[in-house]
Amino acid sequence: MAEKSGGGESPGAGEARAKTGISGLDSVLNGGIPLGNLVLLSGACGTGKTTLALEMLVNGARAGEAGIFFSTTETVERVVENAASFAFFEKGLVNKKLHFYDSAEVFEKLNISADLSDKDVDALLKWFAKTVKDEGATRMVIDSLTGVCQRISKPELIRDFTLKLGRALAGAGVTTVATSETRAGESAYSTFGVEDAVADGIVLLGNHDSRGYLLRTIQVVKMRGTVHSRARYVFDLTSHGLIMVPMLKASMREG
Amino acid sequence: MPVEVERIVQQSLEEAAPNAAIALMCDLNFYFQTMKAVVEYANKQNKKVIYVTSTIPSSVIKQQLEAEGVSVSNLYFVDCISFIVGSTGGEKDNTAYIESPTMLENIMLKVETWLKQVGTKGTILFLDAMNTLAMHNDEKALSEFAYYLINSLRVRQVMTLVLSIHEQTPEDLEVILKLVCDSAIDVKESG
Repeated sequence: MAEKSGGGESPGAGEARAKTGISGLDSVLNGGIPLGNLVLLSGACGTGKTTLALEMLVNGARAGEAGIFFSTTETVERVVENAASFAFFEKGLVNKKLHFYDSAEVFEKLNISADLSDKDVDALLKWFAKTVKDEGATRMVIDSLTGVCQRISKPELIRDFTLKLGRALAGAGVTTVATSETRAGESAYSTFGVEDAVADGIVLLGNHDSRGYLLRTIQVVKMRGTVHSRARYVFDLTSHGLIMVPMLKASMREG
Repeated sequence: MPVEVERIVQQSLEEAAPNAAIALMCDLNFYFQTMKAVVEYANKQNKKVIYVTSTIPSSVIKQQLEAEGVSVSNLYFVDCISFIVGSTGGEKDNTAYIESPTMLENIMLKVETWLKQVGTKGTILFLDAMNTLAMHNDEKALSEFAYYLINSLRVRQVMTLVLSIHEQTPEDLEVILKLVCDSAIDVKESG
């Protein structure tokens, strides 16, 4: 039912992967996200980006991989409180294999101003590199990348930042999922139009109107280093995490 | 000659492979007996049943079975009918509600959610019934739905039982059922 397409220089079927732990998604990705990829999770508000990113991070932590959650949208307390409502979350992992950081506190500590200068961007990149090393992290979530890029005034600096961030984290062996806020109904994958070009992967979350009901959809648009399905799937966010099934052709015709 | 519904159903299920997909084609008169025989078989084998109902509300099914002395503790419902008739009566532990029988992907999602909770080992999916889903969905959508559901459960060793009432099942749908299922059991008046 899924259509497979080449996503990069090599199929990568035998390469090491960061498994998401979400059964349908790992199948779509031919085993998981290629290690070191920077993946954009794009979608309008309410499409499930944060929950999906969190589930991937927690699943990694439960398998022994330390992870960092960098939040620009909510305080750490709020993120952990929301996470605790899910059956897949283990509070005992916090500050052991799961490390949460609030961007406001990090920016204050680095003495970063509201508008990030070249110097501020360098300081932030160094902070990311140091933090993953200190925590021994191999997974990272940035929620949201849009929230960081909004503080960078020059578009060329946004591209530069995203490129350097991806390289630094990949070099440190970190697989990164960064959420990207888009507007409902728009076909863009990112707010500034540059992050998606730089990212190794794009996973698009959306809504599909089928006979008057909105279905949550997920689609892997690109993923370097692996073959992957480009079919659109329907998913649900449950207390046990994300569940996904194929979208029926009948729903596609009526959309 | 009286039809021994319970014997026909139970014998067929006992002889079937653990991951078999079976079409249960019954006459309208034997609907409740067939449904009851499936639940009794599952109880006897200590199997959990994910019960997808688009025919009658899950609360009514439970009442009817309990009135006959049949335990419903192993039943986990995906109820596609209560919402549209306005009789959900609040959240219930063993029931997931779907707003409409047209939401086939949502049915698949709720089945997967239950499977995640109860596990696949020793679990049966009981779809009651294909003819009522056909009242709300076209044949192409239904055949795609049945094909995906049955095959995805088959590889996970889950037995699938698809009930359909003879008198209300279009011929094309009956053909589809017989194509996607491993076997068909006819529960009808003989001779």
